[in-house]
Amino acid sequence: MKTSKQPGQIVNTVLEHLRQKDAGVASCRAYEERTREINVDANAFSLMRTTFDRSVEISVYPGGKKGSVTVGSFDETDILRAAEDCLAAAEEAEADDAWQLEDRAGHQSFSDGVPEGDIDMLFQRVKELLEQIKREFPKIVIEQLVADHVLRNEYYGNSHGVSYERVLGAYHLWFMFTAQEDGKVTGYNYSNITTESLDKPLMDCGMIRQSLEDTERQLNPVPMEDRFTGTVLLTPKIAREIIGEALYQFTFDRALLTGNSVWKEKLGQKVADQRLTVSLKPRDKSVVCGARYTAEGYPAEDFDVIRNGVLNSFCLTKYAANKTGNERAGNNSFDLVIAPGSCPLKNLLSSIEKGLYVDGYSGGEPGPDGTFSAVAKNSFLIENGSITHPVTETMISGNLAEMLCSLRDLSAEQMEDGEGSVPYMAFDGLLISGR
Amino acid sequence: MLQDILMDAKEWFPAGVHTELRAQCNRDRDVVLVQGSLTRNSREETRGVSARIYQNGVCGFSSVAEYTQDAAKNVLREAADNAAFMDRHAGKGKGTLPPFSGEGIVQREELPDTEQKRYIEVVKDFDDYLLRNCPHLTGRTVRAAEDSMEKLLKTSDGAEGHFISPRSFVYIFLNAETKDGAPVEVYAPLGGEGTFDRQFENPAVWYPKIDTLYRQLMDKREGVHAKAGLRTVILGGMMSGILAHESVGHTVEADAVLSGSVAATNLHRQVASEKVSMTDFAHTAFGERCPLPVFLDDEGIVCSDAPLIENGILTGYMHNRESAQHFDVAPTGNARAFLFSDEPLIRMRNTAVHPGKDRLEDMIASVEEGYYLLDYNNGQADATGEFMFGITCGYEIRKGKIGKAILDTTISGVAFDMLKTVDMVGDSVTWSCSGYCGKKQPMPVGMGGPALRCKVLIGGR
Repeated sequence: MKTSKQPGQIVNTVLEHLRQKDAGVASCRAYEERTREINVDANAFSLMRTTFDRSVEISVYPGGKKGSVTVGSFDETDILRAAEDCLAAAEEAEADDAWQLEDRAGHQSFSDGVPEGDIDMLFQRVKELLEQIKREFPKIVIEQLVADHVLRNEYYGNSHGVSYERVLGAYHLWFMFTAQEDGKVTGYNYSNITTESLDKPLMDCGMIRQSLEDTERQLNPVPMEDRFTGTVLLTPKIAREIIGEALYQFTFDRALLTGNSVWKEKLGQKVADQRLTVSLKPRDKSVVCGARYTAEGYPAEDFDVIRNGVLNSFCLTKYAANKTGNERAGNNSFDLVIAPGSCPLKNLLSSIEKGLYVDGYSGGEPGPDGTFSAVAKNSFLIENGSITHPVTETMISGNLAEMLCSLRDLSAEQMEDGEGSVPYMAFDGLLISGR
Repeated sequence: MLQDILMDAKEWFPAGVHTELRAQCNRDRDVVLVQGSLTRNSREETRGVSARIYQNGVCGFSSVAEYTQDAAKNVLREAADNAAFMDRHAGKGKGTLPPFSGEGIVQREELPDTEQKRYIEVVKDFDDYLLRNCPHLTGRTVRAAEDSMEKLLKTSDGAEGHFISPRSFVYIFLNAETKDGAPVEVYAPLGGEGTFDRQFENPAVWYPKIDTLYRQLMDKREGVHAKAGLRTVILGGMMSGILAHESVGHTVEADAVLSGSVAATNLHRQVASEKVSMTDFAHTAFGERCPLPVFLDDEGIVCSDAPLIENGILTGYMHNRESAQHFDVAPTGNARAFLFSDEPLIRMRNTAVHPGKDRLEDMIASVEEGYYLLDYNNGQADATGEFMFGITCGYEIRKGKIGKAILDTTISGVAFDMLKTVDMVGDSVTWSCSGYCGKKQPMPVGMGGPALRCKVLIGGR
């Protein structure tokens, strides 16, 4: 990257300026990022994109009053003006002694992933994927595919002498597709991975092959006419979405700060089936370039949110923890790891008398009590332990908090896509309804 | 304001290819008060320049977070290299795009920067109002936000533009508990196009909307679960706006059509009741300025309306220059980019169902048993037109009268089936323009419509 100043120099310039202004507690994070991206639209290569971004995020807390300013420039005039704007913003705030940054001075340096990416190799891997799809899944049409390599050079420092320096790089692939035949089209499905290696074909990464197979089988869906209480078998991709919703609704800052969380008094108590352990683990081997530190300057540490069905920790920043009288979480990432079960997927499927296999989920944000209803997308009816046919116009209704207690089982198989690891999960007692 | 330092930019453009050069500044202001505590007090500005080059059916793009003449020359070089790489490996031999001789559109308006103090004053004003007037709240969040885009555009076929689009909102979230202790929430965005100081010069003008929201929350405290199944509903104007955007709009963006969306095989066919017409308006609709007017797009096309459905017949799509060439129609000016570092994509502007002749009271009175659905928290649709909206505010209708509020639920349907069930269309349009549409990049959009009577699948118990 062509820049005259490094992020560390920017951070030190800002912190020194704020120190001279007697700003008190302050933090600054600066990064520069290069993204090289390949796009495919409607099955054909369409765009190559290279972007060079910079960002400087400054927060000050003079007398406990917080102000934040972000500016996309490393120009010294711009960053010093941003520091002044930040002080001016804080001046108008009210003091709140819940703001607290890491104050154990020290410096840590990290190099993660694959900083120098090989864009030619990435292009070849994408080309190979398109050819494989054409050959093995001829009904699939890619609506859009984005493959990139992102290189980031970042530095965080605060006025307590805490600093982190990090260079990281990773490849990402995201694509959305349908299956089409004789004028019929399925709903969109998608797949994505994050990886630091292009050693194997993209088709063999994450759940890509499985999602393509499932989507081709989605042609000729049958509208659900039935209404029954049954079992829902979630693919890992959808299990991640649903568990993520539950964590957001019940354990994150806003839920606790507003007092809305139905788990607010449940710390140390059973909130889920005892086979369920849900963790946020940026250091897990399944996570590529996971978080190393939090926005408040604390080192990122793995932790269990739910351990053997018991609520072990909320997912709170230090600010929200101080506000609500709870403990700060080990990290504020969403690097989700769910411990697998021992049941092979085929046995889990064959144990289901009537229900749905769900590889797509389109729902409104659950209510604060966890009530949800959603359209099942890319889904199949399960009858007597076997998948029978794809369905359309089918809704699933239930309550997230109750659902976690009605786990049928977790599969032994897991999806590892570079952003965590999640097994298939089946839940009983959900209302499945059609027209 | 961005100074025009790109006057001579055309001299730097590579020959024989279509080139766009865009400088852009996005400004965000954000203040959040949760239970009276200021949890966010932030200002953000991103600025830079980008170039896109179209060569033989593929594109190269580059951007840098810097706005200087050297930066512009560098991104032009990098974009040309990228276009050449793609042409070499995957070129389609399509030649260049047809020229467009649009006129430059230059706005002379300034973009005043409201002091941070004012955002804090306004959220505190609303918070005080809630404390004084809403005694049964268990939680409250007030968020003030302004976002604006300023763009300066030059293209190789002579289009020039310099335009600004600010919008400002205060978002109110109210929480209470049912008698069983279950939390319920309602939310509303207040505001619209324009800078924050103009929208919220006098916060008191918004108090009646807060009163309505609080009443809806109190009704929801006593709410019941909807009965799952296919039901007759009256969709309020906010709902028909999201219906226009999500369930039809996305399927008729020409890039989705080229990927085989359901609209690809339905052009000039009946896709809705003859009472339904729908347009993606550029800047003026039904004789008035749209909530988020767009006059020139990021490919330099002067924007025009894109008629989508006329009396139930699907009549057209939304286009960028390349898709317009493919379908042999005039481009509509739908190519828009969110940040300086984003390439223009086909995006909606102000998508709306046209009003009809029915009065809302008559529409409700006509329903024996069903639901009146007023507001949502999100929506999605896919290539088939199957859509989903999360309902946050709605009521039962029993024997033509409004009944109890319903708890949060979801509705769904298949657009081109569901629209054929529309048999009454309200006589006034409600617009909204808060939030973002998501499609690789976020984008502010306007959407609107009248009340509609139709049948949808509703989740519940």
